[in-house]
Amino acid sequence: MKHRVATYWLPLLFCLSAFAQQQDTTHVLPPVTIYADAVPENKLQKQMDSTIVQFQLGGSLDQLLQRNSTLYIRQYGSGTLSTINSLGLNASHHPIIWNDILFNNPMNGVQDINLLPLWFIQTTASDANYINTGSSTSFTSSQNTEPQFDFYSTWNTMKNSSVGIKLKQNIKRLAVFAATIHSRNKNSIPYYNIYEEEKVKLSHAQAQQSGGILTLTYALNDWNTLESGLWYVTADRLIPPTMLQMISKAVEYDKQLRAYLQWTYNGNKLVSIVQTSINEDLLLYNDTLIALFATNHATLWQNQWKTKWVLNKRFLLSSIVRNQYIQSKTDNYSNRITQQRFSIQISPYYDWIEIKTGFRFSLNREFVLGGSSPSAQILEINTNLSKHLVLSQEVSSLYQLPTLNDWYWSPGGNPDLLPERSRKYRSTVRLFHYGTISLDNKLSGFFYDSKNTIVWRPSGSLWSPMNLRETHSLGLTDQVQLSWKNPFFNILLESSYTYNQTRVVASYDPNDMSLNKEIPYSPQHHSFSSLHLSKKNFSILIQHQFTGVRYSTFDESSQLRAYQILDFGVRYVFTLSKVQSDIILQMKNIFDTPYQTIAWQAMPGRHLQIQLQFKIINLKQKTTVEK
Amino acid sequence: MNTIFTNLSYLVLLSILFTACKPEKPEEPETEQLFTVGKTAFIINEGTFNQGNTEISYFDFEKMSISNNFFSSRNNSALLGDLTQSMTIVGDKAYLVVNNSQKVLILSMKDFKKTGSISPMPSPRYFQQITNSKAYVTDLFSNNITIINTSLNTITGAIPLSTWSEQMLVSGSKVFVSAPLKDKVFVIDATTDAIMDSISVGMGANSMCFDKNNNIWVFCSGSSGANASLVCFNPADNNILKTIDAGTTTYSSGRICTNNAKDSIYFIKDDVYRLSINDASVSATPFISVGSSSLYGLKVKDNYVLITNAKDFVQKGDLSIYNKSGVLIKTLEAGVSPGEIVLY
Repeated sequence: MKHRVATYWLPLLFCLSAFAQQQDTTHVLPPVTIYADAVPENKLQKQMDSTIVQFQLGGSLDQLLQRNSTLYIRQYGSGTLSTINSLGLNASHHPIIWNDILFNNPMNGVQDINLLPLWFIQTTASDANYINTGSSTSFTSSQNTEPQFDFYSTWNTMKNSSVGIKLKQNIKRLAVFAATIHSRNKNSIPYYNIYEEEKVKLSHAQAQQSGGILTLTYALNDWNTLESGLWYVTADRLIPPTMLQMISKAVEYDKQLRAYLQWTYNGNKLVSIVQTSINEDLLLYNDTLIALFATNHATLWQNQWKTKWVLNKRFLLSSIVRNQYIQSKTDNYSNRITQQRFSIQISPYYDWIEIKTGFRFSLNREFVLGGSSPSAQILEINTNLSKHLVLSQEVSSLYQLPTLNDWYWSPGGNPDLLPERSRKYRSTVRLFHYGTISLDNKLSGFFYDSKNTIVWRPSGSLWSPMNLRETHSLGLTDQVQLSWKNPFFNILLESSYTYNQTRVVASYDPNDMSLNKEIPYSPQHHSFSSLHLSKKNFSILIQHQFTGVRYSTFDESSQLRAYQILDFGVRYVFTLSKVQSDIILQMKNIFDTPYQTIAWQAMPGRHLQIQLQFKIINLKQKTTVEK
Repeated sequence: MNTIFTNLSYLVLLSILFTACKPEKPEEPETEQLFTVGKTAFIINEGTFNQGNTEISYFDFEKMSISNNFFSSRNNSALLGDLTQSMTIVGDKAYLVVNNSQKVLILSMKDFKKTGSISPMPSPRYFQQITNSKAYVTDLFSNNITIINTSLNTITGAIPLSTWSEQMLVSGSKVFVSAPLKDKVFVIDATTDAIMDSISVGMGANSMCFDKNNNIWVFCSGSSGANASLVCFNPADNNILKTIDAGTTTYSSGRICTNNAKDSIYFIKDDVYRLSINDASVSATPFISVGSSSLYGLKVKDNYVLITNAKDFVQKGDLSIYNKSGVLIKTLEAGVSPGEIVLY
């Protein structure tokens, strides 16, 4: 125990003493907001200090969300496939949106968030594009920042490294943003193998990832802007064996292309965005051990028109009209599958100023050609009870369509699968005060009643999707941000706790062993905290995360132990001429906690990471963008 | 003199006292006979893929009772691994083939404790002792049969087979290997470790057994367009003696086996069927029907027929004991996906 305490406190004391010797230079980074919680859009968004993101810069979205959100991230190991699991529901319930386009693969509805480098993410944004699912993670790559050239490099003791370059430049009316990354993960992961009962290194789950992003924005005049964007990431990753296995020769090769063309009209009372986009995924799976080779190719073409119309100071009307064309081909479908979807969404908002209450009603109707036409409705009421207190209420009726894999995957697909329907109730109290000492606390209680919940369950050696007749999810979330700014140092404390219970309450099969049992991979208790202290050029970040017991089977016969992880990082920023240098040293999983987010898949033990970033600021600007 | 005698007497008494007080040397505990040979069966609970919940159940014929999680209870709660496919008892050792953990575990039959392991093998299925120091292990995916040195517990070679190899039987110097993806039983020369012949049987050849005439019976599960069948051949000359149509079936491993006298054949084809080795056809009426297509393991011993039901292969299955007339005596809860039954 003593050596653990020493491991924790000695670097802290060292850093605190070092602070006093530094010059007073403050480097302000733009604020970043991550909307990434298992809650409806615009509610309880997780606001993160940009420094926390900065500490993870060389990683992917999975690393950030694992440590800093109430979402449960399922991952097969470091640098491998990871997906969002909120309230026990799979990742198809959670759209990932970049610059207004949907990232999720149309075949399985899932986006591997390990393939989303944080280096590409400039800001994140709340978005209400896909309200039918009730939760989403949205982010953008923005061009409207000062011209600069950026370079970063990271290396850690798992023999993983990555480099990235970023360029922002304005040329007359054209704003250019380009970035690229390359990472090589040897994934020499130290971990304790609970099956073999020995500490081993997983050294053969190597992965590499490369990608680039380019956005161009051209200002036609004061109101009209043309924009195009391209996102391209490839990954070549070995699938790590489970702790129960000796060998894995499975390799996954991913190619993800996202591109869009957009016209934006930004008038005084009307904002209109017309966008056409393509989402293309190619996934090759090759397991030489079992002689299995599979190709999965999916494309989603989407056209959408979004408007926001300010009718008067009380009334705002938002709408989205969308058309999607999906085409999928895989060795596991009997033939090529195509699907056409149309949807319309209208969201009037009324601000009843006299009673300090805002009302928003959102209606979404989706038409699947030759299929169902479900609808979603959301009513939100926000009341300012006082200058520092807001009460939010939400009642919604949502739906989730089965994915193409749910219906057509062979073997196992279930053509009789029904769309999932759910009713959600949420009540939130927000207490806030901003000043030298700022406090923002959001306490939220929720209850979800889902009918025909779609889950994949094992049946013999096959997994197959099925409808659970009814599931209930209830719980509460508390998020608190506390900051104290004074002439000597700044402190930001963020903390969140979620209690959640998601159970199967009714089944079509009276002998269903999952009845009255918890849905797998839905921790009842989940919390994270981060303490960020900064003074002059130095800052330190201490992060703690706790994840409670999770069941890995529907009959609760197997469970994953609760775990807590502590990370510690030190950052030093200095400027020489026009080059801003940023050095971050981190020790992750200080207590070397053995843990798994998927049964039998080892996650990394204690390791060190160093990150260097050099930014050339105030690049010569050709011409300021005219707005 | 008296004094000397008295002193000597005290000395003797004292030494007797000390001898008496000397703590007794703890006796080596006698190795408890865990199993009554001939009255024991082991149930191989395969578990669920990637869940690591495979286990062994121990059934006592005399007490008509079952002990679940028997491996972990005898091995300090150790995990057996993922998907145990089969168990072969050779002398005082048991070889557990743990399919998805890609290894063969070796246990002592005296105390059922793990004594070693042999790995890695891509997807091992069944173990067959060939000589005192050599064994074969069939494999689902590797297209090879792995050769093992059982004295050193090491892998020494492989026999290329270019397909999934399943069960094995030894007759003289011949090893007969069923191949579920083919309509063949391969014949391997155990002295040269090379394929010497193949016998054309029905599609989906998997489980095999000897009858009282030392002929080999193979259950073939069939395929789309080909019915399941029972094929009997003479291992001496590899000639097929009879082929019996077993009708259509969803895939079944058959678990073909005989009674003690080896004059009746039993197999699973959704239900349990029985026929004499002299019959030319299978009765349309099953010997035992439980209205479930999840029957997964079968063995016949003395007056009992043991059948496992894997239910949905996710929840715990059970072991049912029937008498020789097919009347249910008892049903006991087993582990997840109870499959092969091994008699001891």
